Amino acid sequence: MLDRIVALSRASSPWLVHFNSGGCNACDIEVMATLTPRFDVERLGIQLKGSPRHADILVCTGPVTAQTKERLLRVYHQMPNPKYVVAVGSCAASGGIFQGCYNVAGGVDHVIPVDVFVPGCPPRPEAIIAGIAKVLDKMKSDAPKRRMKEARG
Amino acid sequence: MSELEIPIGPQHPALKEPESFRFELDGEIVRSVDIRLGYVHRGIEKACQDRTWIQCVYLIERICGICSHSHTTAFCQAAEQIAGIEVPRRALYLRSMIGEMERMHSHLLWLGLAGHEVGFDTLFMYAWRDREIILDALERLTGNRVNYGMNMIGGVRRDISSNDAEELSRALDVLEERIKYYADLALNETTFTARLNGVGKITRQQAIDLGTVGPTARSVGLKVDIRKDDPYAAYAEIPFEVVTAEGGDLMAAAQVRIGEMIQSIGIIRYILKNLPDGPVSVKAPRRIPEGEAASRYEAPRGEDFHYVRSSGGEKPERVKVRAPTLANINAVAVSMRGVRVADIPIIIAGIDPCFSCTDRMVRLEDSRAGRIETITWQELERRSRAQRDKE
Amino acid sequence: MSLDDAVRPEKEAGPDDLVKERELAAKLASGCPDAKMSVSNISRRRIWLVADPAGIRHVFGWAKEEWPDIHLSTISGLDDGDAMEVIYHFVLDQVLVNMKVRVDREHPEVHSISDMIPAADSYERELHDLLGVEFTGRTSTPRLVLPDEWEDGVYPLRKERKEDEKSV
Repeated sequence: MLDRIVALSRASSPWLVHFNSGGCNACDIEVMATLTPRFDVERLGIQLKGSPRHADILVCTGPVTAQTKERLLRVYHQMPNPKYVVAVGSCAASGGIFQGCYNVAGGVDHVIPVDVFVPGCPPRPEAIIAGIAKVLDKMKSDAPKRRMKEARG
Repeated sequence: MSELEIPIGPQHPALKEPESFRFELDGEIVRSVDIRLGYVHRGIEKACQDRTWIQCVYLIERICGICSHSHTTAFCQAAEQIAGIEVPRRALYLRSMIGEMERMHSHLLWLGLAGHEVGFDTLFMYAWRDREIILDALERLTGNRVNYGMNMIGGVRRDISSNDAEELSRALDVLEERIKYYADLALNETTFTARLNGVGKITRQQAIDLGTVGPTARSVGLKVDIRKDDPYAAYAEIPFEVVTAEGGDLMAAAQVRIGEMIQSIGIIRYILKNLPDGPVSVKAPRRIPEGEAASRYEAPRGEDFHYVRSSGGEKPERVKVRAPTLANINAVAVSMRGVRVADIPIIIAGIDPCFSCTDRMVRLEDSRAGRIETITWQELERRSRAQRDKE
Repeated sequence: MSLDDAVRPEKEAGPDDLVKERELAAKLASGCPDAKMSVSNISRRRIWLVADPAGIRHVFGWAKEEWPDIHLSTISGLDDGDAMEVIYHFVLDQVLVNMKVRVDREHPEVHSISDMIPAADSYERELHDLLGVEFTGRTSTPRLVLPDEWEDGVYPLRKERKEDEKSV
């Protein structure tokens, strides 16, 4: 019972942390644009937080350069469970146009598990919000599954 | 006082690129700073050698999400020069127009971020809301809000219809009013001005010695602007003023950027009124003949420099890009000496850094007191605001 | 090659329109005899020349006096298989001078100019990272663009390196 409430309230005001793993910034700016009045993602209860320790959702952009790989891992591990990852942009999905470049791992899922991919170069703010909404659905439906898992022991 | 290592990834709601600063402190005062770039180093120059000329244009567009048109124009210009391609005048005008729209949306982005850095979140919301007007216009004209894909070797991909031109003209009228409002707000609003006046100062001589470019250079009164000094695209034919300010501090930089937005509106209006007839592109050969060129472009942040060499093949022999932020990074380092930690975020934001152009973690070292901290940009900002609130 | 031979005027520009560039090139060549400059091309606001690496410091020391507003745009590097080419791109009086020096490609070495032209510091560091050019006279050449974990002695822009060999 408690699980369900927690999941619902978590899904109705998720806290996001954002990380750029070496992208060109186009996706990051569109992520930021979701905070602005035109798209106003905060009316959905979504808040951008600075510290991963308080975040439910990691929004990640960029193709994962060598220098950011370690830090991406650290950010992910600092997030409390349950945590979800949204990979925003073609680069975060697969390395995008930087596939094969010598300093690039080629996509966020090379480093951490990803729940939702939002393709685009860059994806529009609306698409990013839709991606986050998908993750919220996932969060809601995961709660009962987890309870069952715990009951089985 | 300072604590020990808190390693967290470079993340920050406003300044999005990861980058690395290492500050040496004496208590709360910065003694020196070492700047390590490379978090966004992707290996683009190498990748260009393995892509056709057209593929390179796509890649180069994505060096930086805010100044993509600057990079593709610089690159296409170089290729065109090597191949001796004469780009149609209409295309040159349209290239310039998109470039000015890019300058405007970039400066509005900066204005919003600067506001955010000094705790003026309303300014952030307003500036980014108004930025949407330009992004809408860019989307209508090019098909995308960001990474417009407008340039090709030989010209531009799309023409502008008279409807588009009319809508753009109306958008400019709205923007002009808003920018005048910002000019007043940003320069007379004391919370803003107090944080910018006298902060992040560099001298004229430092600007020259350090190879500083763009609004940062113009903020010390250096009248340098590639559009005037080394005209490209249609700029030799378009009347406008180079905006400078005196003082070399962040207030001067703000004045320059706001003034430039007003100039951009004038330039776009002139272009719309005087757009030459004719085609918007000519066909470019698949193989660019042997040769080399150095192309310079006045991007929103300053001189964007491309050196391109062809050995006569389908792929470039060498593409070298020196984006403006790399030229300005040393000025930042110098301007940080003797400042308080609390002022660091706004000073860095002051050069309008586009580290994906150049390539965040912040390290604070107080070697005398034997303390080292590695913190996020976020944490630095938080402390900066806390300090300001105390004052 | 005489200065006249090197001039390749653009379509609309007659030779007279490049007076400024030709005079500037001549002044540079005569002002820095150590650099043994030879002009390879002149066009509008562009001078391309080749110089002796031994004369680099002399060039910048002298140019700074003559043109106090000298602006170094960047330093490019290129491994062409035979040699390492280092190109200094600097602006004198709104004309961009592109000065090439050729050095050994296995052990490329050039004098640093970062004490005279502080702007050169970042560009030298970048060239060192990507092409392994040693800039002598510097106290240190810390990494600028490559990750800390990147293998020493591996220079991504050198010719032997294939694109998909990664140290990621």
